Amino acid sequence: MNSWRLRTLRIAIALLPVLAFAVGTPLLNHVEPRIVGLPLNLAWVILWILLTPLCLMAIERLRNVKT
Amino acid sequence: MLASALAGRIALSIVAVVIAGTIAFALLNLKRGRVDPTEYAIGGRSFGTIFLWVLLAGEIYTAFTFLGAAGWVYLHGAAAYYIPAYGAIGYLVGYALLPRIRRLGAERGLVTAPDLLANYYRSPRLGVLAAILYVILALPYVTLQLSGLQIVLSSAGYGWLDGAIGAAVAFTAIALFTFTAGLRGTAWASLVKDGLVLAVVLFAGIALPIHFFGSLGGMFAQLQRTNAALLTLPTGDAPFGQVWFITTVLFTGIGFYMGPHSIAATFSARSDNTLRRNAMLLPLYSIVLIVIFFAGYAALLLVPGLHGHAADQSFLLVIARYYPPWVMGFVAGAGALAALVPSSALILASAAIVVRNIVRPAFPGRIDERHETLAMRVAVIAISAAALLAWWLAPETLGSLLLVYYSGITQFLPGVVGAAFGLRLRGIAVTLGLAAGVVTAALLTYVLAHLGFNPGFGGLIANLLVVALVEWLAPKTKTSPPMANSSFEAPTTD
Repeated sequence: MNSWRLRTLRIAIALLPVLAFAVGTPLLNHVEPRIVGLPLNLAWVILWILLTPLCLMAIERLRNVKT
Repeated sequence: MLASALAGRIALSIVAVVIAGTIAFALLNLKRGRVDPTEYAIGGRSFGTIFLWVLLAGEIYTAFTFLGAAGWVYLHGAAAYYIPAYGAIGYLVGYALLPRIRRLGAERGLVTAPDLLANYYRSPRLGVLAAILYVILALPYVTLQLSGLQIVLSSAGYGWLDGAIGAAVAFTAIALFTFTAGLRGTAWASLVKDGLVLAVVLFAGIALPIHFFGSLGGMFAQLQRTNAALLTLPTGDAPFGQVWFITTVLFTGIGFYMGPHSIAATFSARSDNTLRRNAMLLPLYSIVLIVIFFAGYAALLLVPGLHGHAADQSFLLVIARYYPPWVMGFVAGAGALAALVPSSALILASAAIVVRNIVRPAFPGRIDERHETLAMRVAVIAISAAALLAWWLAPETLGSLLLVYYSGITQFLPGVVGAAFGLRLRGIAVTLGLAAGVVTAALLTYVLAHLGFNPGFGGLIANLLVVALVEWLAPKTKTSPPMANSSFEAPTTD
């Protein structure tokens, strides 16, 4: 992969949590269906708190890829 | 009456032991010997992963978060989810931004946030403006911690002792500690604070719902019966509605690390990789907030009917009503540390700013390297005294100043990002943009209160417009930003 495509890919991955939190949460504005007893919107926030480190690890991995 | 006096004595004794123990632990871990200003203000640029973890995440979650997040959920329900949401976005921004800021700091010997702007844009004027704004914005934030401290100590006193006096005493202790210890001491204290806060939060957020409602699911099932409207956001541009959520999460997220103490913590990092490794793990810290939300929801069901600022005491009331005084002692001890330790970091950063970016330019040549640490120590005491005095005399004014803390702090973003990414902006453009942004944000906050969107956003747009306009209008010969070396003089023209 060339460096431009790598850069775009890293930015795209970084945008995932941003969109999930800022736009996803107010759009998934429901209590039902409840996920392991938690309201859907709260479960969504928790899910992305856990996924954000994974996104950052992927970005870090791509940073170290030799072009 | 007698019972509450005894309970108050037990709980407050534990709080006192927790605070004194934390201070003693931090002091015992300090190195002896001469302390240069870089060591005092930013730990000699030597901090590794653990110290940065507590400074870059722990210091942002203050007593306001500890009590305020529970209070927010109690009053506004799902709107409170904006707090972990902006945090996670803040860590993403930090991953890209902080290593670059650290590198500039190490290359050019920068210690404070205004140092960064003044040096990169070669504009002492910008440095002074930034310094004054930072101190004006930071002071109310410190006094807010004092109010948080008062709430915690009043609850732990069970009405036996006035929280205000206790807050003033504890704050004086922490000011003297900061005077002695510098950032390294604050980092050690922060380590203790984060451990205790974590233990208390797990107890309050997990044990409370299970104790009273059988399980978390049981608690939410009951909330759905009694407070269903709180569990979702109001639609559209209603107060704390969907539009407010989107704008506030984005705006507060990008401004997350613009606080003076966060920039100082960045300069304290040993390497870029330390900062990047941290950014990858920091989002997990937001789980603490989720657990605090559980405590807030439990409090809503157990002690309903609180309004306004009283909601900040909600889960302390639950502890006071259902648990023995020694439990209250540890909970309040954690709360007190959550107020005191971040105050210490903020006061320290402000003191360094006052000395390096206000006093030194005003009296050139009067404070040399050897006397700078002493000057910072004097400034720590002066700023602490000012915060205490202002809190005592005019708490309401300070409360309203605080409304613009985040809106104001985020106006530093164009200048800091420009420096971090090597943009060739003029100092005058950044200076005027900063001024326009802060004024616009303040006007939107105070004149047009209760917007459906975040007022800081309006400020940031004005800020960027002014930067673009000045860049476009200014004469074409411009000074190139100094690239690798740290020399301040001899601007070159293209």
